[in-house]
Amino acid sequence: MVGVPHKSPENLKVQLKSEFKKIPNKLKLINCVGGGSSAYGFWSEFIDYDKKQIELIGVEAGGPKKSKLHAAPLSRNAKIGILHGAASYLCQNNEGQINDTESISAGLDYPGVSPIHCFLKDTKRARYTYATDEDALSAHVMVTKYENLNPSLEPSHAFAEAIKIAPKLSKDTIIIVNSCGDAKKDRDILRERLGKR
Amino acid sequence: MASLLSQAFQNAKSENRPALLTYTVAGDNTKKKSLEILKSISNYADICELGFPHNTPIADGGQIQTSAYRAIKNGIKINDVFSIAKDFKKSKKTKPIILMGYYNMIFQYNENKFLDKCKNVKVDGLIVVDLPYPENKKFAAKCKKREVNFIQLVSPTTSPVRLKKIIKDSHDMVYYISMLSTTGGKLKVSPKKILERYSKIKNLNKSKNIVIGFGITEKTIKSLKKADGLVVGSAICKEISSSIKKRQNPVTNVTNIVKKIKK
Repeated sequence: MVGVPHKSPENLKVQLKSEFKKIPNKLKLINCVGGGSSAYGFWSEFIDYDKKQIELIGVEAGGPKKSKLHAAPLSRNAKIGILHGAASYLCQNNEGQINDTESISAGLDYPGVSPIHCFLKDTKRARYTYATDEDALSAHVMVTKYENLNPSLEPSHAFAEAIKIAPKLSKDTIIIVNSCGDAKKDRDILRERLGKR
Repeated sequence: MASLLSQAFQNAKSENRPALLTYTVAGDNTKKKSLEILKSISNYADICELGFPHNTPIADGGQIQTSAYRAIKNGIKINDVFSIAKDFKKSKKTKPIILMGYYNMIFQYNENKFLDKCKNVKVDGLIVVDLPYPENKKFAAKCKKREVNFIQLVSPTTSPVRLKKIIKDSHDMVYYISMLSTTGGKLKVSPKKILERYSKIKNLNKSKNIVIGFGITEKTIKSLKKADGLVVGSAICKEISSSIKKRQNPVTNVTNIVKKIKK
């Protein structure tokens, strides 16, 4: 597993070729999804590849384990709705009132999602799942312990999925997680949830 | 025959004044009270706008948001809104009523079902705040088919080209948003400037009734009398809030405000 702290998909291709001499045969690109801009940027150079070669995995905010609230319209059976001028899967009730959302990560805490991710879901090009607040926190702890990385709570959701699926994968499968933010901004909340570190 | 909306505008014109449009939220503060308020103020208002409350009302400021949240908290559902409109129309057959709200609620209810219901309870017009031109073309056509006026919104930033197209596609009434703000904001554009822009729109097609809304209060209304119609919403919602706070009857207080504005 490698965490890639950068934002340029072009650059990711260059890095992949220098690391593996070519684009690997089994590759998984994991990114957190709130509104979805980070994930789309991360994936944009790879969408044309066959999904058998390159799987795109988006990880939404599942919210607190014990709460019914979340911000995961793609992975938790939300219906299509219209909010802020766009049609997308949307956390809402059957009258069309927008549901409250809850997530430990401010950047993922939004009831809708970019329509382009709805398209990638409907066409099955990308797979969407969620990680709970607790999953994200554990992932943050593990990644900071073993890697020279300090992912914020948003990419910690993506790392949680990587940690979850990695044991079941073949040795030649490459997982890349976009570590798209630094945990400095989450200092207070991490201290509150994990104690002094 | 001219629509009730057109008749209301003609009637006001014959009295040499702008039509007064009021806005209240269905179910604020209860289903029963909001119907009482509506009936009472309709003695002074020419056209009544009735909001179906949404919990993410992107165009509304604090006053109308408060009213909407209050109504939703009291359990108001879309079908209650229709039943309020229906009751209202039973006793006020010739008073036009416009439903106003956000598209997601119509979309979840189902467009056709929603519009059939509007026709059944004799709703005269519809304002869908977040369904702009040209995305509203099909919806507007469906309204027309059921003799429900679809009311287009234009604003100070609507380009001349777009304005022409919107007016061409509009029905009897067009809503001009006075300034770049949510509802209930302080009027930050001079009335003179607003009327200048208003005239530009009006001159595109004199047969359309153009109303001005956003920032219209007892104070600002006097300087905008040239318009075909003026919409007062936040000032009314504010009065409902303050009546509840003071444990007074909102029906009486709101009616007094509307009476004063009418003068």
